[in-house]
Amino acid sequence: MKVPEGKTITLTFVSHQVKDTKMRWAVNVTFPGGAGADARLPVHAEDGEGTPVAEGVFEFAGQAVRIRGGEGEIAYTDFVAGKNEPAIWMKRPGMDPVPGALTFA
Amino acid sequence: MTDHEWYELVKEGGDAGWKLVWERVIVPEAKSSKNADLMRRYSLTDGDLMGMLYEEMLGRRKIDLYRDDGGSLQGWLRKYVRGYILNADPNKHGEISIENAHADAEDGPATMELPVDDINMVRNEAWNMTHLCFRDLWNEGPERAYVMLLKTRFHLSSEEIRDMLDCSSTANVDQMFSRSVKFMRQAWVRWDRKGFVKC
Repeated sequence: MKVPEGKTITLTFVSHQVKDTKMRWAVNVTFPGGAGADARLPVHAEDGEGTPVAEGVFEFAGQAVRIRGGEGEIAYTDFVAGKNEPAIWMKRPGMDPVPGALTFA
Repeated sequence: MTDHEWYELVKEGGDAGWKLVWERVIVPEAKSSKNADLMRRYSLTDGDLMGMLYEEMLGRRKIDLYRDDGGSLQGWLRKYVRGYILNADPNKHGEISIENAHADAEDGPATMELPVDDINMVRNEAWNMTHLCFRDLWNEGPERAYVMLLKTRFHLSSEEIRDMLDCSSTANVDQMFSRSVKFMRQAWVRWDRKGFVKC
């Protein structure tokens, strides 16, 4: 389990389209080049207006990643263990959960 | 390396042969100014070309049609790639007629200049369709979507993807990629038949 040396990979997940841009979200999960099994992957979350998600839970890869001030993290091993899990949700206090998916961006 | 040796490697589907395909076939075709212009217009990337060639050669076994009798494998493969670029023109398939949509169309032959707005519309629709199909792929199997993305957007080799996603083997990665390309094509046709719906 290893990210290629010298190649930082950033995967972007986005919400399914909803009318209210505040409800939309985009999350970047970054795999630093050369990261190994003990690495923790930084997660950055913004809403549809580009504002960092102040507080929420990003559910993906079967994990609940806590987001605070737009930032969170997930263990690389947890990501790999949950790589076949299609359910992705952003849950924020006072808002309905919004599903999403990996995007080709 | 002789063409015969290269051909054998390409047939096996491993990185050694396909890395050369990338360097000798995809990159030169994508860099030629004429093709680069068409690719920009039709929202095609070099990764798309690689995916299409891989799927056609291995997924549909077109590689077996190559007569390994001294002809240039590079030239043979480049013909396929040029075909993909030319066939990406949506006007060729009756999917959309940019010329007829132009204001000049009623007054005579359509201008050869493509209106900027229409180019953008085609580009946006192709991009949105890609997203729809990719979302379908994600729902079908997230790991396949990761493989597709890592191969075509980040140009990782099968070995690198195997290590990054902890897959069982490079053959497993290649198989997932091949199936992903096939799935995306089928999804595209499905969405096209349904009528385009913005995601």
